[in-house]
Amino acid sequence: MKQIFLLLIIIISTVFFACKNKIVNENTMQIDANAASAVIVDIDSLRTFDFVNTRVDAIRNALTGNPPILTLIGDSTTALQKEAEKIAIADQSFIKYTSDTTSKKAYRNEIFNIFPARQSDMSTVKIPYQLSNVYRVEMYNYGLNLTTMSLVDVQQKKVLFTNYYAQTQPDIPTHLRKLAEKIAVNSKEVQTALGYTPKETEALMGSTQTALNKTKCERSRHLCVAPTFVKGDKALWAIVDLTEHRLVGVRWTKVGKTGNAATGITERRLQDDKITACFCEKETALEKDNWKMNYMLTSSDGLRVSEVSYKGVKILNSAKLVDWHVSYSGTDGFGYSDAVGCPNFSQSAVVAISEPKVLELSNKEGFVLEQTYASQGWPTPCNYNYKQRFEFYNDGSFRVTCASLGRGCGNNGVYRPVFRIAFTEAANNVYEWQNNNWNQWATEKWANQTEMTNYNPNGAMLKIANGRNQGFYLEPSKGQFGDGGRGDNAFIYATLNLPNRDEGDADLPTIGPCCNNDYRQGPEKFIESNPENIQGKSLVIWYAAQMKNDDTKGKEYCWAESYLEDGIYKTRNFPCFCGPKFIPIK
Amino acid sequence: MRLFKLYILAQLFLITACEQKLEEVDYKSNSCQKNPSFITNFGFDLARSGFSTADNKKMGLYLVQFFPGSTSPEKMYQDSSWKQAGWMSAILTDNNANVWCIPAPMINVLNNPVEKQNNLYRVNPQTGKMEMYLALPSSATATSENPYGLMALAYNCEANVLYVSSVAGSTRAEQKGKIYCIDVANKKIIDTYESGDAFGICVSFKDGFRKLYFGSARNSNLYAIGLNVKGKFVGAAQQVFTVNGLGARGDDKIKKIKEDKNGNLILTALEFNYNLTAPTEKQEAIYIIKYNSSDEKWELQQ
Repeated sequence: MKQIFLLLIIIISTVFFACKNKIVNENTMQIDANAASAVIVDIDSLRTFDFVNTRVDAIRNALTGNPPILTLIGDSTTALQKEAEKIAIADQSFIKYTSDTTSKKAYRNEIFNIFPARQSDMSTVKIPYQLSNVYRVEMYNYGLNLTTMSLVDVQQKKVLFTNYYAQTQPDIPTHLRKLAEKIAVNSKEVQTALGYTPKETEALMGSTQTALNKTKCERSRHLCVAPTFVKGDKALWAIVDLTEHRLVGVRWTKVGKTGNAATGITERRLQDDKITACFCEKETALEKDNWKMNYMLTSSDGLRVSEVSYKGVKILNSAKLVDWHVSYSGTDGFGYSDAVGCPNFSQSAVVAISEPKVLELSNKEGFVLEQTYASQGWPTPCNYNYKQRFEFYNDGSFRVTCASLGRGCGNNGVYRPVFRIAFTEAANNVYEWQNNNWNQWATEKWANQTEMTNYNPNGAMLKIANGRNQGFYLEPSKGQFGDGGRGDNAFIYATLNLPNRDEGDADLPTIGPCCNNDYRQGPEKFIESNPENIQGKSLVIWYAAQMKNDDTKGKEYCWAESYLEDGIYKTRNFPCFCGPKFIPIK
Repeated sequence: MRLFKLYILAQLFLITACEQKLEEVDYKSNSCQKNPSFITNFGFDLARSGFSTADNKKMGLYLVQFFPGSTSPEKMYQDSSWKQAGWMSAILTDNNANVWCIPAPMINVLNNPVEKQNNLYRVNPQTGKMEMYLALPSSATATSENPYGLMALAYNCEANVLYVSSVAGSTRAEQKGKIYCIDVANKKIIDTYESGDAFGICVSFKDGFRKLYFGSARNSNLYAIGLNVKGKFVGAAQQVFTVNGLGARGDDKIKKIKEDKNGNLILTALEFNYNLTAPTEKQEAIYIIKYNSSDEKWELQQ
């Protein structure tokens, strides 16, 4: 009887849960080893190959033409196809978008396909025609990422219909397919991933309407394809940018038993998955020169370094970039509080688009840990691009710095990034240089760097030191760091760091509003209304710089602009670097 | 042997219980919304006024009247209580002229703390005052990984129930999303469907049955689950369409679903990655899908 009762209970519970818990969960994001082993090719190092030189010459030659169009390359083109191309190029509707209407500068245009038209192409054509005489001519504009399609009647020698498709790319012609394969097999990232140099014929190609063709370069808006190499039960996707003739990155996917089942690997997905797997979900240890630290990307506080030591002495618990406050003076109270951080599952408004990079400082004085964040539409208006840098010097100095690369929503913006720097020293003090002396701050407080600020003979405004005068001078930017920064006009705060009270050690949600133009940038909430004693205590320094943007020609600052070069848009940026340097007290 | 028989009997019970039949309902357009009286009391013309949360310079819910024959706003009104939830997203009016609205962070969480993103708000149709109607349960504590809570609203006129999708507490590794069915008259959650992270939702009527359609916030798929006459969920959701591979990005998520007068579904899809990138960056794509009764499939129209 007891058994029957138990069985009934089990069955009833099973019925309940079986009916209630139908979870549509089959596509929960799984960050796997393939994402972590993906390679993002550094976008700053344009990869060129000797074999693209002929093509580049042909492109530059076409840009000087009238109209500026690179005609279809291929020996299989028939005389009628050539005739269709000629008729199209002579037609005003077909060449409508081949040059910029304002500057008259040429876009890079290329005929991709000339196909016999199908009946389904003719639905909008009212003019009499004979289908066998009609060709569909497709042209791609690399600058605008736009496709122009004309239906050309070679018998009547005229264009019957033209249409334009924004942000659309036609199927690529054979010669570009071969070029993409060649770029892939000659890229060392592909060779390294495969463990050997593949033959071009090993690349399955996406010029046909297969899953392999569905790669996109959403961020660059370039023409991209994905030659794919199958090895065992895995496939290596090599995303090739045919606008710039370079490899974007590589990533393995599972093929499975029934062929390539992977969903499209795109530029954004490759970047986001790699960044997430390697830098959002785990810390990375870095040991270089005499420095040692961990770093990782946070949800909303940018790149965070932690457990920072120099020559074995612990210096920082952590340092991070808490917020970017951007206000526009043209509209009262208009602006944004942007957090920066991980690309997915984060509170970031401007997300990381590359891996953190470790670079040498230019004069071999040390190294820099750098992270870039960008809105997808940058540098178009109301899109943002930020850089964050930690500079570590051989003499034990370090600098916490960042920059806006524009472009934002107007030329009347003020950027206010907020740093949080938590020192390891348990018995610290803060001193301000005033009247040729270091005057100690007794309680939590803030100071504003102005034109009237006093600096000690070495340029320091504050000193953070223990009772044995061991610690650091704080030197705010006055434009002396040689990075284009023009001075910070910073608000600097010192707050108590208590182990049992989290005042920003964990990921901070947005700490302050966009548009306060005074000290109220967020850290003051840990000071007011009852400033605590900070003498001989564990301390946090907060630093909020203020940079006014400028779009005046020759004086651009926190700004970016697009310009046409070789028929495609490129970006010229004018960063406004800010941030303090900490110099060890000798 | 007796035990075995009982086991078989129970299994049969389990199968039949799980296959709760969809109950056929008479076709109605599921269009029953009434306008709250305060709109005219505030001096707004009903024919050219509507609620909005779309202005990125105006936080909260507001009422806007357009110039005749134009989409330019002639005047706006915002009660002081309409800003209490911070930035808001979906708006829905029901058959009792209640105005339902849900919060959604914009750019940051300064005015939208994560722990309040699962709160459902109602504007009283008589007084015009907004109140927090129901704090929907969250199966997990709020995390900085996911700033979102409620995602969309739908109303079932026949059953007088409100559906609300939520992704509160979901993380990168785990979906905790649910769709709640709320009996509006009794202010009570009468059913919960563990849908995974659902985004846009819509009630529609096909082949004699009422169904709730929902897009996933994790992938590009559209799902449907049956509803009984009381509006409760029946059975398990089935994938009925996908926008995967379509549009400029190819991996958009279905944010909004509307039914047109012909029974087609209008899907609004956009990029969504559980972050707070600015809405201006998010390019929407619209797809219209039509139900083909003969092969019981939804097909892309445009």
